[in-house]
Amino acid sequence: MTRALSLVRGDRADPVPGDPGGTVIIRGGEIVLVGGEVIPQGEAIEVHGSYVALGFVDLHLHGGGGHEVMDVSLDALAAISLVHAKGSTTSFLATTLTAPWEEIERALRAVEEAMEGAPQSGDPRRPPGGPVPEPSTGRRPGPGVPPGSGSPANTDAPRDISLPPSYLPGSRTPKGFGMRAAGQPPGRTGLHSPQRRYVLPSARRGGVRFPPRHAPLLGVLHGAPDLGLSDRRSGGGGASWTALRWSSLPMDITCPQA
Amino acid sequence: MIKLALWAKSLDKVCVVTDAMAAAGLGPGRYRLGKKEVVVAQGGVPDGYERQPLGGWPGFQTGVML
Repeated sequence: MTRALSLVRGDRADPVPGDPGGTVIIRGGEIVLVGGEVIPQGEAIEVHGSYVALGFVDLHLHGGGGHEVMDVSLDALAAISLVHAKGSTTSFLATTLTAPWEEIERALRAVEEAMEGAPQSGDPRRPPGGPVPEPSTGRRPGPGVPPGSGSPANTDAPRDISLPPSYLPGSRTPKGFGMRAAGQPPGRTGLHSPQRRYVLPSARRGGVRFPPRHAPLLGVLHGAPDLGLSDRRSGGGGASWTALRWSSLPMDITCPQA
Repeated sequence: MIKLALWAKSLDKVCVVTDAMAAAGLGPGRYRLGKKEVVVAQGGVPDGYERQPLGGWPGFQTGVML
């Protein structure tokens, strides 16, 4: 039987109202039990006075660790995942920047490819793109170096991924392409109106996930909430999306291998 | 500002995002933000983002709350 790990008497920082504390039991890499009256199993770690948080889901994230989503690179996405996982974010919505359509499309294809190879719940596989690269400094050697040279972009041609017609310029798709790349069904667009609210399948699937082994006491939030989304077009017409509200919180949680 | 947002919307209708850029997780230096260069100074605040709610977090441009 897989040994268990119990986090005892921690203050849980999670979205469940009215149940702030208790014990979290992890077995086989998954959180199997959470509650205030739970008897600890296996190795017990006293975490009283500390927060035990779910892996955070960041819905607007351009980059990290010296890399950007727009780098069009699985390695870059893995490095971004790693640096944010260290800071407790284990899922994120890869967010593009204002750029010509072709560049955005390339970035989205890389994101989609990364998602296809992303580990599922309880799957401790390495992230896409092979070994996790160390975060680059992301810094330029000095003034005068042209933009884009801070970290090398992967210039390999992305694998051919068929995008549905709604992804293409001229369709009804708004400029929140980052959402579309994550599998958003077309045809429901808009702002604030409930019937026009987006539901984001990618967030349910965890977006670009990363094994949370680098995140202390954290898990992957997966199968997550439906999200109401509003498009907040950033300056210059770039794609910029943020969550409007959390509506429901069905969760399926995994944790680092205990 | 955060308190105001929480008061106005209530806790279950607020979320925070990092809007993190390439500098996230790293120290002061010059970084890319698309085709722009962003200088993160000592203290972690990118130029031009000093007044953002979470601008004090290294590499995080701003905190966005709805």
